[in-house]
Amino acid sequence: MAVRESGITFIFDENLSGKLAQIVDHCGKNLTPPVRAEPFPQHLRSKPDLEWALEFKGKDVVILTSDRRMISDHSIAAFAKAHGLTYLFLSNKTDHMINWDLLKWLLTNLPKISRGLSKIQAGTCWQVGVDGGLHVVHCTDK
Amino acid sequence: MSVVETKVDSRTEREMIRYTLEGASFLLKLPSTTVRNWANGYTIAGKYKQTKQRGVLRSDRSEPYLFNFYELIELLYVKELTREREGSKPYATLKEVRDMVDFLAEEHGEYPLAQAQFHKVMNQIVTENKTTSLLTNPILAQHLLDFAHELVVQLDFDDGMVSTWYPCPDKIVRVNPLIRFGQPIIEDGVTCETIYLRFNNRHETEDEIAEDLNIPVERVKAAIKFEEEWLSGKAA
Repeated sequence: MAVRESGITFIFDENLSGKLAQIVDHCGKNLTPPVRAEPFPQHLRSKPDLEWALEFKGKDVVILTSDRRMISDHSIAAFAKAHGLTYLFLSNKTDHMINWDLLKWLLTNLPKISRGLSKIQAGTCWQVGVDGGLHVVHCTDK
Repeated sequence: MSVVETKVDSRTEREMIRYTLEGASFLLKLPSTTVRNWANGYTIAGKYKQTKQRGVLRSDRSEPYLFNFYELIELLYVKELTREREGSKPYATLKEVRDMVDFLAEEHGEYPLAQAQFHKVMNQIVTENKTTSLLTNPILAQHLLDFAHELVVQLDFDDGMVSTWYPCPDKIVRVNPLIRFGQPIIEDGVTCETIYLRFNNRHETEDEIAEDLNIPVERVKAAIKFEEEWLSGKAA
């Protein structure tokens, strides 16, 4: 499958600072394919998951979030599949990075991740390793 | 017709999101072995034989290490019923809770403790002085009723089932399985874990987080306090 020319827009969940999204967006827009970044829209934050899922459905966006400690990844993968969303879980190791290190990591790895994700279908859930490698998260742990 | 469909959907949606054993243990402030034992049952090894104790939950436990929201609330009830209170015994033993769930499940199906009916049923048992095999003791019955009143203020109900849990008395933090996949959130919809991660790991200040997320700093503080209290509760 060819790499999408239009690139991918990453929606940064609140675990990533809005300033990081601004810098990544500024640096990534001239790349080929472009890497765009936006913070999760404030007006959707307190909405039920079903409602905000509809906002993103059918758009070339990837929701970038940290690993969920409490919730089974598989149930989020099932949600992503049901609503045609693409989810990307950051590695647990990035949770321990200060913003400066996280910015360096994002700028280094997002172009590679973006190329990898542009070849996949919406409705899937992925875990990114600290090396930028992608691993699919299945809907069931069986 | 459409109303019925909505009810089914919202209940199914609440059942879809599953808490991990670690997540349930964190939210209930209980060791994971206790959560697992209460939910799935356990075996007591005696000198000559082993005794198997059933779990308290009556729902389908095909995934024994995952819990839906209703199961989480039922385990919260089990915790509150069986915990020792200041200067007094627990309201009920685990066996009594198990018997009570069996009794209620016959009439109300799975998740009997997560239903608004539970409170009503408790009231009925006490006021009508119903003699059941599980509640022959009127003092226990009165305690259970007091307990139901106590816990009901922490919960919101929708369509007869628990829809939101407020773990802290100030109600800033809430757990609603339909929002943010049932993680504890502040009323702006930001997860407490996210705020704590940024404060603790990313070394952002409370003011910086509040400014970036465009929320009052008091809520940032409440989220951090919740995470710290719950993390220490779990460790204890």
